[in-house]
Amino acid sequence: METIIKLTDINKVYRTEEIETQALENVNIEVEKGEFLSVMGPSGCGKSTLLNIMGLLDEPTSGTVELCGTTISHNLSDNQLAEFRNKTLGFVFQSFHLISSLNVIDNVQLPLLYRGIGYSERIRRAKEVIERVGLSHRMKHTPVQLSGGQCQRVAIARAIIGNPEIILADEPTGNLDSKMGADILGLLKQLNEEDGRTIVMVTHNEQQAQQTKRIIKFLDGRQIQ
Amino acid sequence: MSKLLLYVRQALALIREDKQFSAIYIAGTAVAIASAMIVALVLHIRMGNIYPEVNRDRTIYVGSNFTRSDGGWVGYSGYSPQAVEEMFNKLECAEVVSAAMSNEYIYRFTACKEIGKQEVPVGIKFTDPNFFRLYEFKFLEGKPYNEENLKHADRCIVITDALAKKLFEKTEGVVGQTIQLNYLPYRVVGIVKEVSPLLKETSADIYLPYTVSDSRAHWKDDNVTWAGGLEVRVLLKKGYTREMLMDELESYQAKYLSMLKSTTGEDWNWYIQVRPHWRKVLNFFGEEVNDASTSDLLANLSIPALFMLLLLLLPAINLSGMVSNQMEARVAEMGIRKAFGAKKRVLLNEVIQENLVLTLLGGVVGYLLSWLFIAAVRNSTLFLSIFGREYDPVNSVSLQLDMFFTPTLFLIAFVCCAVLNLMAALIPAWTALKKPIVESLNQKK
Repeated sequence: METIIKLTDINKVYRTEEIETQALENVNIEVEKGEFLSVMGPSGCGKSTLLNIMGLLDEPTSGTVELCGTTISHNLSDNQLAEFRNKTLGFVFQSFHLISSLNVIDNVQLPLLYRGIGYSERIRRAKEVIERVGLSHRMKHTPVQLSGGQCQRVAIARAIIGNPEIILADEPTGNLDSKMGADILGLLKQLNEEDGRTIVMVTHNEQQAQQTKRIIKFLDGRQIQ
Repeated sequence: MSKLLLYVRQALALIREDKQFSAIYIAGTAVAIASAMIVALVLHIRMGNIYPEVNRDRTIYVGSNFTRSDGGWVGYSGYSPQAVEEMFNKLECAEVVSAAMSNEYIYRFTACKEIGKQEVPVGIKFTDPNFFRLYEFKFLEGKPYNEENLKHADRCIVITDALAKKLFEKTEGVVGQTIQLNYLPYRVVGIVKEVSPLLKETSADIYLPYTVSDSRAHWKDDNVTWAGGLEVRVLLKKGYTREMLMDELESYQAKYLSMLKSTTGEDWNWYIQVRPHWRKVLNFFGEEVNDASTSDLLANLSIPALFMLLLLLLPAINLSGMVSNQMEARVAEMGIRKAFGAKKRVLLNEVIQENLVLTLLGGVVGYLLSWLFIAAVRNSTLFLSIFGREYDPVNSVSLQLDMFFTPTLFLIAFVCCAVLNLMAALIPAWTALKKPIVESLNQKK
């Protein structure tokens, strides 16, 4: 199998004037293409930091990140990183992170907007993915007019519209009730199984993690399983 | 739909989301734009192409001063009709030449329909027929007096529609009627649309041939036959410049001075003053009037431009504080956009364009405010003094739409908005965008 994410000797230290916190310590992870991986652990163990580093939202203090065969060096400019994220990665956040002033279709088309794709193509693809997450009837609604589950569906539509190889989901069901959480997980599984997308999901929910292909566990910034 | 329309939609959504911020921002912008636009409007009324002075950019005012080499001088600062005929009418670069008596020689006049009827104080202008060609007067009825009328000093006049209404209570059917001007009968030959009193060169209630004037100002000097009391205005042909006119006049100057020496036996100096319209209005650096190059114009325009910038800068500092607060609330949104691939430059552009929508709304309100302000103060002594006019207790100052709504003024207003917007939004937006993505995403609203 092809390795799509490779983290080697990743360390992340947060420093203030008074205190130094080791958020990740010598983390080595490889994720195969098409894998659905769960990252588990108690709060503050470094799961989200790990996901942020995988998603190029944050830089490791030391170590190497390799995504889709490209080594992400420190020399990459902000613009190059932005372009890489836009094409390769899709994000789903616990608190949805939808833009409240935009309606569903405008939220969803965001990654394509920054890829410079024309209006009609953006709308066509946005409608396609919104239909796929079952929200065709809510396209003109703003996030405040949607339920939590619907917001997360919009977030998933936004994550997949750019056809990224990797989807990083940070506690995607954390703010949802169990039924909605199950729906969202079902949707992610579908994306993994039918489209072959690689998904890394941070979760506290053991039951949900069991439904993914592999689980890794963290404690105090170290991978313990 | 282009990205721009998406930004506009987002800006409108933000306005709906935070109505209080938007209202205060629009009000602050409106006041700033109004202050700057008042300066621009005053400058436009003085310098722009406004009815009937629609060719101000090609109009040159030519003055004169003859002095003897022993220091004696001729008491006329203009030209004689002979100079107009022998020199100005032969100029290659002139499309139209018009001679009119300077306002300095005109005293108070009153007009009435018939002797014994109510008298109305009137402003008058002694001109030649070309005056109505050089300035594009709109004739509502009749036509200007002609060269024959000028030659024979016929008592025929052109009056404004406003005066026609005052005297006859109508503007149609007035041509051919007679009015009394300082108790002498004059025949009306034309009715023109009224000119705002703010346009000193052309505004009057009555226009009449300068030969009718009992002043001798338009007559020629006995020795210096080209000196007289007429101010000559030249409308340059398109493509010709003030410098070309100067060259032509200087060629006449050399010939005429040599002729003067032979007829009077004395040496003479002849200073020719060649002023474009703008030079009559702007002279911040006390320059010699004949210094009127493009660089002189730009240097003079830089003063009101700096003043406008200052008027924009002070409110911009306050607005910047407001934008800063708003950007704080949008930091998380910026983080989301960056996570999905937005580059900082793109986001900066986006924020500035969204803010521009708000600024433009303020700009429209400000533009209207500046117009209302000028309309409110138009009869005040201070305002009139800017235009070299005096307070008139009888007649209200009329304003024309082309004083306020022209492409140039719209462009100036837009530039003011863009400058204000940049000053107010650039630094707060850049500061917000500099935050690391993770920090932005974790920022609470």
